[in-house]
Amino acid sequence: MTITKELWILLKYKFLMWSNIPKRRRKRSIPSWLYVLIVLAVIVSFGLPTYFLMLKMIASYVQISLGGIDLASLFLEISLLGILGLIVLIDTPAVTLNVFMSDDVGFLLTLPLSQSAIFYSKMIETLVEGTFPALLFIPLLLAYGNVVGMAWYTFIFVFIMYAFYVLFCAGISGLLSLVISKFASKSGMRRFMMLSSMATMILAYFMMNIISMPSFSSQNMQSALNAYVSKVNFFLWPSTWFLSSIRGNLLGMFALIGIASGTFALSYYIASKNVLSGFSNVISAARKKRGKEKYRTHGIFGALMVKEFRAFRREPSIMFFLVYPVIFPLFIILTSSHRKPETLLMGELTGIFMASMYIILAMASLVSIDVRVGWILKTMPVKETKPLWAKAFVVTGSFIVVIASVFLTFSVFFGGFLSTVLVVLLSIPIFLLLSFFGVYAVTKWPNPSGGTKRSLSTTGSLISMPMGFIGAACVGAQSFYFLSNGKVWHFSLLISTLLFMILPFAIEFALMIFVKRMISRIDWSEPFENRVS
Amino acid sequence: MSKIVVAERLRKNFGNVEAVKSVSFHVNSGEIYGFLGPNGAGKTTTLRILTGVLKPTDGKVEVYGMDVFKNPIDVKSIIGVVPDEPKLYENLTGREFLEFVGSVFSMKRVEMNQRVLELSEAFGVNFLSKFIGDYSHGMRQKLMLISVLMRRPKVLFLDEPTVGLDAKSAKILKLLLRKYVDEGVAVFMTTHVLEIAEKMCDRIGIINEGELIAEGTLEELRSYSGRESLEDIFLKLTGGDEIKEIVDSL
Repeated sequence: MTITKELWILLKYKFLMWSNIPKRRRKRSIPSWLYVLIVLAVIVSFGLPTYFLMLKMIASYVQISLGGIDLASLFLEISLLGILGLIVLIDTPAVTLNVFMSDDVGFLLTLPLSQSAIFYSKMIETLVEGTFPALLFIPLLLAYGNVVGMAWYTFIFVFIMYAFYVLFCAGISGLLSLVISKFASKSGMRRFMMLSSMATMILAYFMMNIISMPSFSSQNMQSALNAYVSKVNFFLWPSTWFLSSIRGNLLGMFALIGIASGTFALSYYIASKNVLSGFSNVISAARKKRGKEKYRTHGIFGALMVKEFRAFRREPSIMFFLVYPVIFPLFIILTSSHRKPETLLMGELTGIFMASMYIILAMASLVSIDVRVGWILKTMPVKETKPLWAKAFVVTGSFIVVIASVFLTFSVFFGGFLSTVLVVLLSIPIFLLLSFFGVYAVTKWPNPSGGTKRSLSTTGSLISMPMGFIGAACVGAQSFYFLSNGKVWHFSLLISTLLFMILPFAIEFALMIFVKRMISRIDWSEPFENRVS
Repeated sequence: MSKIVVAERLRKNFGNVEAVKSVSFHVNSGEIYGFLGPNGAGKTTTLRILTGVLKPTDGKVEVYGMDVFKNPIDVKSIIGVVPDEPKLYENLTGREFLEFVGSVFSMKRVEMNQRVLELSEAFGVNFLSKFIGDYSHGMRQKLMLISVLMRRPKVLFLDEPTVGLDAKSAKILKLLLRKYVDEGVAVFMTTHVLEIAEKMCDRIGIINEGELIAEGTLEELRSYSGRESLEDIFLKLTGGDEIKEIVDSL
């Protein structure tokens, strides 16, 4: 069988699995015409305003020239580099997880399928889910083409070249995941996941450094701008090849097509070298202990805390949730040209925003682990709420410790130690509440495919996101209130107190009542309403 | 009888732990080779190496004279693997899963329909239109067996194949395996159920702490260990002789 046919079969059945999910949940699937209509409506409602916004912006940018290049083209290049960073950042860990940690890889390896086909099918699955940011770029490309007066047939060429650009980004992700896979084994999973995060973080930091604006405090603005332009419009960047190619430069076109194909060919070559047979399912390489093993017992709550902490520590997807709220804000802080307490505060609040959402997901994952082995806890003399409190403390505590330690360390260089402490303290009650919301969310909207990697269904994730944001907004509002001594911006003291102090507390209180009521209604004998077993 | 599966000096390390220590054996055509051992002895690791799922640290595996890691596709086209805990696609129905496997093995539609029908009747499978996510362990095991047996592989690797099966299905499986073996199929089977090994296997290998400590027909093992039943032989060889003392001390 050719690799194309192997890929076709693998992807066909993967698609079938996706499309079967509503059927399995006994939900009526949407008719395909309605589905197409909804997708089109979403694309148009997002794409059209973005297109017109971009059109206006590009039209004004195209008249400004910097170091031999117009600002519109420079903006295009910066955005392309951003897309590269974003895709690599999102896709690399996702591909490595999907390729090397999927439960079905062991089964697929027993079938007469080439390892390249298995690798590529897994990679394509991931890319379909993870490369959607690339679509955001289409309105910008259309606007740019219209402003510079491209003919309609040139647009086709532009989109073909853009496809190669996205392929290049995806190819880099694939290669990175293959390199990381050399260290992959379930026994060393945490180390491997950290490596993956580190690799993508370094790349993204590198990218952000390129596209961050120069310091305008510079004495010689012109030379700073020229240096900046030469940094972005650099002959080794794929964004520069893309720009050159759509301007009719053959060298740029061949460079983009050649290197995009080359990265895929290289990953194909590596993947064909039995790279998947190297992965191991061994839980851990336990050290041999001499003498008698000593066991320690804890009280019931202590035992639950220890168990939850171990589950938290050993589940790589949950560890990811913990790492991201620190990684992204660090980009903001490190790429900023100003080392001020305000920069650190913005970074910390961004971290709180992300953590608020991930806390819900982490808690949902921990609960789903217990539900799946439900009989263990059900047969123990433990009240139903006790494990939930243990989970909430572990999740909240872990996020608080990580955020506090990172931002307090940075406060040594940026200043703003007290504001950092204040934000952390204000986050604790919200984090606790959101973790309990995670319990409600996973019982209300469990992922029908099960698993701890994605324990919430799409609806659950979509509802949890704004809930997290509302919680984080409360922390942000309260922080601003305290840090500005009760007078936020131009608001009067009364309005400030109402909006930034009383309202957030009222929301927290309402959330507490809601979550308490909802959790008390959960039937723990059958907690997943959607019958996931 | 020709040697169908040949394992030479297989070794597998996980970090500092040596899970399989220079294991060599072979499986002949028309033979069921039982692979026994206590929990964590290295049975499943060996099976995963034999089927090309896991690369050995050292050593070589050949199936029908082909190196499993140099000719993986050719080897996998002629083997069938039933893992002990089949992790299947929860969002596919049983029928869709069988279609998937049939497609990968380029099976003819008519032949596949016929085989699935026969095997479904034999194993009492009437749940193929349901989603695999809703299957019990036994149902998954039956589905996995059908997906393997429907394509008549020349070599079978079975990891605890009777676990989860009802008595009737287990009996059918045993008879079916014997029938295939009589037709020249080679079977490598791990099991904890010593009675099954005793009744079904032509030759038995016993692995303990990653080492193949005994190998031969039941008669050969009896004369080697001086014990009558396979249970006694197994316990003597794997250091389980002190069972009575352990029970008394508890």
